[in-house]
Amino acid sequence: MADEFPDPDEEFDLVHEDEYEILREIEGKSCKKQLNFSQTSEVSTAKPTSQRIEVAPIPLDQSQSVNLPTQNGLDKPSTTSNKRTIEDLFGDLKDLIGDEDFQDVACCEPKVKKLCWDQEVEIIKKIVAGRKREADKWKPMNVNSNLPRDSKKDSISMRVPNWNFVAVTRCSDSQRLYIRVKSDSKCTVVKSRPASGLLSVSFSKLKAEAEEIMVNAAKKMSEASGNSELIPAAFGHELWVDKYRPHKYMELLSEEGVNRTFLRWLKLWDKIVFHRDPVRRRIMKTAPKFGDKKKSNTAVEGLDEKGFPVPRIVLLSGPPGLGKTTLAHLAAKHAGYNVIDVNASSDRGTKEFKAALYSATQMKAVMGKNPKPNCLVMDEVDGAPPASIDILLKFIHGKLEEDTDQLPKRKKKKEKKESTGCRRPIICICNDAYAPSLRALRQIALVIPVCGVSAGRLAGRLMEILHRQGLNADPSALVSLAEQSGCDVRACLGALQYMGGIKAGQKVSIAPKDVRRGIFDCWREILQVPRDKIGPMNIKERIQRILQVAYGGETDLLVRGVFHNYPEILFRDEGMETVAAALDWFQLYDVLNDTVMSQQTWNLMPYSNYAFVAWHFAFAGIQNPKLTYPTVENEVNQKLARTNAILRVTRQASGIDKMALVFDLAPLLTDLLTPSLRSVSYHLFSHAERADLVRLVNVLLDLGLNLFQDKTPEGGYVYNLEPNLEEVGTFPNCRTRRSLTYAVKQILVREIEAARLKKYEVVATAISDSNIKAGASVKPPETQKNSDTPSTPTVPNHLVRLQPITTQVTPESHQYLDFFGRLVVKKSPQNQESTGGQNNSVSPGTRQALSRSDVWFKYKEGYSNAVRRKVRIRDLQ
Amino acid sequence: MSLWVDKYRPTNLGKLDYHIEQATRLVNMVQEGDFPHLLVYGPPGAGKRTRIMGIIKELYGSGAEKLRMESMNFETPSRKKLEIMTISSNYHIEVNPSDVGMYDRVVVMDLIKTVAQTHQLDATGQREFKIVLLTNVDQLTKDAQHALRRTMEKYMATCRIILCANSTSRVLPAIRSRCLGIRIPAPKINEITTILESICKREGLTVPHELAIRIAEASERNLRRAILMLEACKVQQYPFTVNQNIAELDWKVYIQNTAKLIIAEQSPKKLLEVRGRLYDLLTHCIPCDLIFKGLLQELVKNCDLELKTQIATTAAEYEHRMHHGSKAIFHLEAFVARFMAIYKKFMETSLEAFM
Repeated sequence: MADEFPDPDEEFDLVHEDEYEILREIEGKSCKKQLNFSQTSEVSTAKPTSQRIEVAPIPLDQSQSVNLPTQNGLDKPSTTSNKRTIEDLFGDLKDLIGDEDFQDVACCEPKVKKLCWDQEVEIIKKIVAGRKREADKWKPMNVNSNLPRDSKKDSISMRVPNWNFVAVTRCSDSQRLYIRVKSDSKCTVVKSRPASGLLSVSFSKLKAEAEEIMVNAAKKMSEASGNSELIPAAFGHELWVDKYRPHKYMELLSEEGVNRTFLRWLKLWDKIVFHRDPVRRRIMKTAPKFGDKKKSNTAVEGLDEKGFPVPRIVLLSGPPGLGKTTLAHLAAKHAGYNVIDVNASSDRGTKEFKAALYSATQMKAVMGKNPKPNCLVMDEVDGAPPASIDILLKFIHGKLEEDTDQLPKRKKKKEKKESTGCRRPIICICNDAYAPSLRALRQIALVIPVCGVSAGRLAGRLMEILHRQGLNADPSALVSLAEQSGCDVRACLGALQYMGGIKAGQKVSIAPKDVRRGIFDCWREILQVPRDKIGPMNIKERIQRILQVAYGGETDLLVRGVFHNYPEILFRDEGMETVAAALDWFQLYDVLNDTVMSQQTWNLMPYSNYAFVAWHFAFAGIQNPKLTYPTVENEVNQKLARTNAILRVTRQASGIDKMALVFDLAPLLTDLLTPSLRSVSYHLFSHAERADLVRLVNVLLDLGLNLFQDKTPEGGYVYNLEPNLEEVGTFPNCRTRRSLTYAVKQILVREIEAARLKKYEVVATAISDSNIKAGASVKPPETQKNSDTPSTPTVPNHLVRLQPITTQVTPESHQYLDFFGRLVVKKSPQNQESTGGQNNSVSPGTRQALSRSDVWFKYKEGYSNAVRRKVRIRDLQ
Repeated sequence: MSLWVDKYRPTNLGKLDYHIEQATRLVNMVQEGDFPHLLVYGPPGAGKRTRIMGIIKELYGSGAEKLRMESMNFETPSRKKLEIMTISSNYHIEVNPSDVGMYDRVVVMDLIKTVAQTHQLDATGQREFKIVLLTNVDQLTKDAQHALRRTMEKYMATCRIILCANSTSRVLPAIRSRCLGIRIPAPKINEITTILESICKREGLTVPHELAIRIAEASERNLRRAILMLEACKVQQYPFTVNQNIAELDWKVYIQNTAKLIIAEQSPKKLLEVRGRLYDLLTHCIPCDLIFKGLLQELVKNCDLELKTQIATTAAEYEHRMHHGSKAIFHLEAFVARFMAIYKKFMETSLEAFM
């Protein structure tokens, strides 16, 4: 990679050094910065200002004009408007993308306030304040030049320097009405603040100058911002959303914490991309102070040994219209990247996706004034096919193998050499971070949830935009618009533009944003009385709300939730009548639903929604209900399935009808199966007890039941029926039952096994009997011969339980000599005796016959019951 | 065959202990030669299956006693595989189509077709038809019953269908009219008592008459239950005593206890507790109409006459709705809540009147 950015990289660094500097300025200024100032000054001397313009938007250029340095000089001594001037100055400077005054600022700042990295809150405050000033630029006239009309508004000073962001309320908004000064033309307003009457230059002159600058700036803007090639003339036809998209970091509406986390992550790539070492500097400055803040800690120190940020990918998630894409683009641009956008409109099949990945991250623009490294922004990533996301994941970790045939050999080698993964930041944007396809991505990515803007702030921005558009609006209306839209910036602007087209004063209804609400919210909606600011809503409105919820879908789950939760939230005991009435609605719902489902009479469907209204009025309380998910139903279904399985197995074994099992046999089973047996050894059982045991075994066998050893949670062992028919028949707390002791059950298990074996044997012999009967007439001589075997004369060969038959080995044939050549006298008489004793009943004749017969059994070492038989082809023919 | 219920089950129609007149008629009908479809109905434990097996044996002789259990596989039009257990001999096949729930129509159609399309090879000395025995017909879906009625006529030559149900109320009239209905009433108390005593005699035991009567009463004239109870009594304590404890059925006790809970307190909290118990009953495969019945029987004990009629009406109405719906718990709970409301109101008004 190093060869890819040789000189231009450094140059780039230098070019953008000032930007970083400013960022650092914002983050926290300390004296240590002096280190870099040399660089900055070098830059400022070396670089023409034209470079900066591209980054610095309109207002900066104006302040580039003559008056700024002088103003600096003026402001400090004058301190007419107390502290704020410095901050003001600083705020301006930030946007100025620092010219020559940095030293100045750095010098004076520590005196003012020493902001440190660990005071993140303050930094955020500061930025927020800066942002406010930014906004203030648009309404400068208040103090200096005008507004005699609104004395009341004057009384509320907007210039209080320690303004809190939260304090920006609707009432302060109403002061900002630019409508009164509209005649002054929206453009001039912009830069008139610096002209605070202290200037030597006359206002009109300044104005003319500024206008000129404005025009220039607009021209430059349209040249510089590569992605939006707008001709000023086309402004009228442009969507406001695009027109007033933030162009500076300071203009971002999204929450500052989010912005910063994101930007910090982006900055971590400096090491890889720009070969600059942000780590050391940062750690030097910030590490000790960062200890307390967990998240930022990981983010800053989060570079692995190769210099990659530890979450190598970032995932911005949040509902639509909050400015995620804007944030990504702006921050990437701010950090000095060329943004490449891949969104849902581009083809995202695996192949195209791969191509896009490679082209975005490994190529570099060589054309253009100053080629920047790329930064890939994957918009709407939750809609991408999972295969593509797989590829993305592999790619990030450098595990993706490129198609070998498509690449020349040299490149392949290179690929192998540095399989470190993606070397450019990749930003993913999605609406739902919990989409199933993003599961793997979510685990490795730095997930930044972008949450909504406050309605007040959004309304402020809207107001500003309206003003710039030359319209006026009621601030409270704007706030309610913001609230209605769920703080969806895009939706608000769209609505405003639409309404702007219409004449003001017309009544326009805007649909509330159609959001997917969580199921718990829906239940809460139904089970809680909604409240306005004044009090409980009126009935009509409530009905509308409930119906709205009910139309949302998932009716079945809603019903289950209501059914599950209502008894918990009813605390008034006397209302059984209402409960009964509400439960009638459950019945109605069930009947309706069933009718719809079975007969497809969908026109009945809407009526079931009114049940929710009935339930709402019956159950809803003022308090916030504690809701739980209706899991009971699933449990019930599981238990039911289990019971059914038990019944089915038993039925298969015994052939007894299911209902008979449930009603009669299962409840009485424990009584039938617990004779009074003492827990002693089987041999000590009395005659009656043995009879009981036999009966018990037979019953169990008949029903196909068995006893199985189970381990209790306490570690003991118990015997349970298998299948557990007892469970079907017993209910808790009904009556006490006797049960067999563990010892008796052990005996029982043994007996069952024995009985089962015996049963099989009986069956086997029965089958063989019938076989013999059938085969007797066919070949009598053979059966005759085989049936000579002593134990079961009638059983054919293959069913005879095998007896060890020792064929007489003639001792003469094997003469063993010992080492000295003497005959070894065998000590076999005892052996022979014992074998003879075993086979007493087998006559030598039989033995001979057997040894000559076709079937033989050879005893080898160990145990084997292999039986072999000679089969000749002619037998088969 | 070691449970007394199986051991002392009469194997042919001649050995039956009660409804003897009916049995002789059945024998006559079988010997007559021609044999219609039958619909055998009656309360559980009255001896329906015993009689059906008797009929089959009467028809085919002892060959019909060799039973085997097989599972048959069917496939629904939506390619869902169904497996159902059948009990069959060479001459008949018994199946409970409601085992497969809503797919019973497929089973009914396919099964009867496969059975009916095979003819008996040597008709000499044999009947030329086979028997298909469908149990629990009252739980069949409407679809299945409609499917049944056509096949019943179509394959009359090769198969006879015996339907076995608890009540005819849920059997389509079309099917009822195609069958010869045979009602098997529950045995009377004294009939059960004599049967119990004869079993004890054959087992070599002595049972006090009073105990036999108590068992018969506790069994609610369900012979199967009575014999099982007798055996349970024997296992628990042999030399029988008159006042011996007779094992009660758990599910009945549970329903009774639930009813007591309802009577004791009427509040949403109690309702939640009752719901848990209702769920318990349902998971133990107790049919919901039985729960309704059990609850009603227990609840009305505590009411006076006016209230009784009101509650009985409510119960009937709610149970009717339940059969039109699919979630029994809604209807059961609605009934309980309604009862609570009525009962509470009644108690309050009567208290006011008292004061």
